[in-house]
Amino acid sequence: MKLRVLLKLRPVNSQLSKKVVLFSTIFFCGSFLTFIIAASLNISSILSACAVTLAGSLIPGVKARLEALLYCSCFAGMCSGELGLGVISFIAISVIGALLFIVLDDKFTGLGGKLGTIAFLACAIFVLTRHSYA
Amino acid sequence: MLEFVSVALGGLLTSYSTHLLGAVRASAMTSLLYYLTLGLIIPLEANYYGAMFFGGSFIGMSKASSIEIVLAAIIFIVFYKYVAVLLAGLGGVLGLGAFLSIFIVLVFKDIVFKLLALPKH
Repeated sequence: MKLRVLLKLRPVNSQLSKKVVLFSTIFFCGSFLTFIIAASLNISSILSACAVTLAGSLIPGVKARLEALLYCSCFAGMCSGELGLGVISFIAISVIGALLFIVLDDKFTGLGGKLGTIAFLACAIFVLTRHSYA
Repeated sequence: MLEFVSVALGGLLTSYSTHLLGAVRASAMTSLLYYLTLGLIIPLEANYYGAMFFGGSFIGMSKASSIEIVLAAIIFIVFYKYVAVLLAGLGGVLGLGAFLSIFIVLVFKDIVFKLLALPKH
């Protein structure tokens, strides 16, 4: 018998889980690219975030919502190198950030800084959790 | 003074170019251009004032009037000077500052309009 039936869990919403995976992947690409470009080329993270966002928005077929997600992920990639973040850290931040983005997508519409706040929350949750268990 | 000019300019330029480019592209493009321009004029201060403009551009992504953007810019500078220092190193701090600034302005406006029973225009 399946584990899900044994534990009496509800069936997983496959559409939602696909969305979480897709959004997490985009979030990871944006944040990690921003971080790597800023660190390796030794340029400002602002320059790196803007360049990644503009490059991403030029990809044909990218909708406004995905553009917003990419911009949000670039803010998360603006973390300082002193925090010692690696690939695994950015994967964790991306999953948290994607979940927050999905939950807060239709909230606070028309208020600027929402994307930055999501990125900040994702980074803060990860850093504080890591700090607690280190 | 240049701090206020940077934040307010970021907000207003982004707000005006949002109709042409969309909020995300407008914010990214104006910030990139401002940063590169500052890099040519005052390269040592480009990071600081570039960050100010970047934060201002998030305020400009709001559906707010020019006066609201300018008021939010003042609150943003206070946030950046006294609060952002404590959270330095974490991504999204500028966005958080912009969000709180415009939120405070809009809530304050709502309260004033309700108290004075004015129409919301």
